[in-house]
Amino acid sequence: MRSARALTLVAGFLVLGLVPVVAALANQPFYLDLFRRIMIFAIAAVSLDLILGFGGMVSFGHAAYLGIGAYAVAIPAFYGIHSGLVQWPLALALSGLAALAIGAVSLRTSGVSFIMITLAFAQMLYYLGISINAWGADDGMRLARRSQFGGVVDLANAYVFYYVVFGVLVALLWLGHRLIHARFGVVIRAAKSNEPRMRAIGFATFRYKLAAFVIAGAGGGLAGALLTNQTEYLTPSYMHWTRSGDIMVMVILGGMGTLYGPVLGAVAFLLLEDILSAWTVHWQVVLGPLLVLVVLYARRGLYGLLPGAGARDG
Amino acid sequence: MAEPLLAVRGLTKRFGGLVATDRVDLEVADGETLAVIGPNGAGKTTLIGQLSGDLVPDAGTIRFAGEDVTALPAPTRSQRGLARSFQITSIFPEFTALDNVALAVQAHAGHSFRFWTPARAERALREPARATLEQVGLGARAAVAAGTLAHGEQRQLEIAMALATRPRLLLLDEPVAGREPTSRSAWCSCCARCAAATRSSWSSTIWTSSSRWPTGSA
Amino acid sequence: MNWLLVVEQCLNGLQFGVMLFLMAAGLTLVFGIMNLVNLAHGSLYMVGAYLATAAFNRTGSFLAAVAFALAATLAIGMLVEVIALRTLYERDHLDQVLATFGLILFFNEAVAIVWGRAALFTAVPRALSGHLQVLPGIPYPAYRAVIILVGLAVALLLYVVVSRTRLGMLIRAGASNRTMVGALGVNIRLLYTVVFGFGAALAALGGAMAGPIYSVLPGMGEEILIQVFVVIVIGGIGSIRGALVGAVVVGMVDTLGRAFLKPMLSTVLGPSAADNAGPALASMLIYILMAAVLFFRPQGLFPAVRS
Repeated sequence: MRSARALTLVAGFLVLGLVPVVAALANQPFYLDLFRRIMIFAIAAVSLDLILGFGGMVSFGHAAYLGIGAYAVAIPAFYGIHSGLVQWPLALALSGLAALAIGAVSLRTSGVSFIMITLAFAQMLYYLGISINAWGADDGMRLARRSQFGGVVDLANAYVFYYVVFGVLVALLWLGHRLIHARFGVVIRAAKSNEPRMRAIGFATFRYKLAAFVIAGAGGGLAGALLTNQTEYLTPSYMHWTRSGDIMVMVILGGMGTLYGPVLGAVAFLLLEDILSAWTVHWQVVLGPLLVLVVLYARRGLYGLLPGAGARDG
Repeated sequence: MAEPLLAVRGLTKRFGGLVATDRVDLEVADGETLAVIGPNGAGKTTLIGQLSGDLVPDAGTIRFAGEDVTALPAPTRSQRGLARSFQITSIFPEFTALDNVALAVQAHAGHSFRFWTPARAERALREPARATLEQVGLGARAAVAAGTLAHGEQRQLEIAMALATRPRLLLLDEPVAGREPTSRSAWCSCCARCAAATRSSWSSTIWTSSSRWPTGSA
Repeated sequence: MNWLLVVEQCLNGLQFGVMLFLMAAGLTLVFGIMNLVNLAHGSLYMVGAYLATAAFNRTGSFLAAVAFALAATLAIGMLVEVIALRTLYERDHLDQVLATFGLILFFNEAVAIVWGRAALFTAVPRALSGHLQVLPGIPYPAYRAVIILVGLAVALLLYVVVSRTRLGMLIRAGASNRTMVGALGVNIRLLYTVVFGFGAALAALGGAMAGPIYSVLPGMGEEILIQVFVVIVIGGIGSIRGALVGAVVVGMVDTLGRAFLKPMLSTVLGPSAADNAGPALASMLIYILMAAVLFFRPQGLFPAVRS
């Protein structure tokens, strides 16, 4: 069974890795764009799953970090700093810092309050974004050029950019794999399972949960930095609460608490969006009820349907 | 005279109009075993909760190992050497029995901000955990998911997790409750053995029960 | 700044607070009793606003339009409860959030299909288009004054229903012990459906009254919903009293912040800096307030006692 799963995963990555080749052969650059976008959202979803699926923290504000990462690229660019070596670390640092502040307050509560508070703080940042006239207010700003890496890596080349995103995704999954099995990940998962017990055996769980919250936020920020490069545009709507909902849906649809599930969820969700929106402008009227049906009848997620996939991935 | 390991003065906890513990005074010396016996609702679990730091007392002080710990949260008290078991079984059901105990070892083996080495590969966590599991008689069940263990085995696991923190004072909340009457005696002597094993390393035990101690030995 | 303006803005704050309360009361009731987090509560507000505005523009009678919107939203709410939400009561909050998120997408798109994406406008009913003298020399729009009165009347009505009637007794008992209420022979499913419909009607009342003064457009429900979350977190989840206090506080802080923060900042920072910082800070004010309350009281100001 293990080998069947490994085979499925390798096949999956092979497909993602070969998209540019297929797109070039079929002369359909559109697919390159679509799958790059899918992988960017997969990065956001994987980072959210660290706290949502593994840590049991239902954060409804993940888009906030996506937005901060996007601003961390667009604002320096607006002032003429195009180096990715400045922008990307800034995206990680600022989104991590925001997560530290938001987490420090919201992790004092749990359950429904936590959901509402994370949502409210994300929306606060959204309103902040649309009220700052100097940085485009609700119109946002155009990104003059994609992040520069001293001419070594040229993101203006669609293929190069694709493989950069692919590399980031693979690296993130590898880091995630190490993390969830290391001491830190064990603490996070156990705190989801039984927090009073964790405290009784001597874990001050708050600091570990907060650290996980910060890591997830930084992951969201990285996705945001990639997203502005993808669209070559910054808009506060990256932080809109419906985007937080979308990322959450990707995690659930793919299978929460699994490493590769959110990737699968991002693929399924964005392909579905692509297909439905080609069919009708009112595609959300179909997507909404579909989502209700998934929640009511298919909670295990797509990952659980894969050959050789156990309830948890090892 | 040396200070007792645990000294409780005037410990009071009210739930609304109900006084669950009413000005409790007690002392436990190093190596001593104390049994707290009373009917359901007498406030035994409330007492354990206040000693372990899960409940905040309305009045009174708790001194442990020469320090006032009344205001310390549960994890800190655990770090100082206070361990508890729960009356209603409290384990990590999706983790294996060995993982459960290894977690308790991990809690007392430095910080857990380690992101790279798989915890299951850390012998410093696995070996003490396996030894403790053997001690409570669960050695053969190490690889089984804790949630699928029989009820009695889960009670054993519960004790193992408390023991694995190498406590100076072990708080056992109704360790016998829910056991078959026929197996109680054997289990009691197992608990007593465990308590004795830790006692050799300067440990004490508070044991609550709603019935008389069946074996009578301590 | 003069006193006339201050009084007027305070009344505006109260009026906004009352709207928030109409939403928060239903949301917190449904959470307190059924343990359901209903993100789609904002959608019911939006549906109420659309139905009332459309009916008012067609019939010309505001009262009839509000009555129609209330009745129709009540029916829609009960229908949604029976079809989709009923099975979610026993699920965890994450499931509830996702399913009701799906409902939001549906409702927002459904109103866009029927009425389009552009905002719908309607006038204040003629009988209420004038001003009242609230204090000597201080006129205030009659329509907004009526909103305040209606909101306070609803708060009083809720208090009487919850604390004095048989329905209220069942609601309180149901919140603390649902199996026991079921054992008493009360049809608990029906009770839940009625309570949900009641909450929907309260949201619709807010929406219907919002029609003439705010813009009616898809997504309007979530705009207010998130502010209502702030209200509930500040007030304490599940508490009607907390909802009222939280709503008035949030309404006041938000309104006064938007009105006076910029002029106040411009005396300190100068006008150009205040132009940028004022609106940004004003939009964040209620969230900062929420963070402050949570820091000192993680359970909110009036935590509901739950067994």
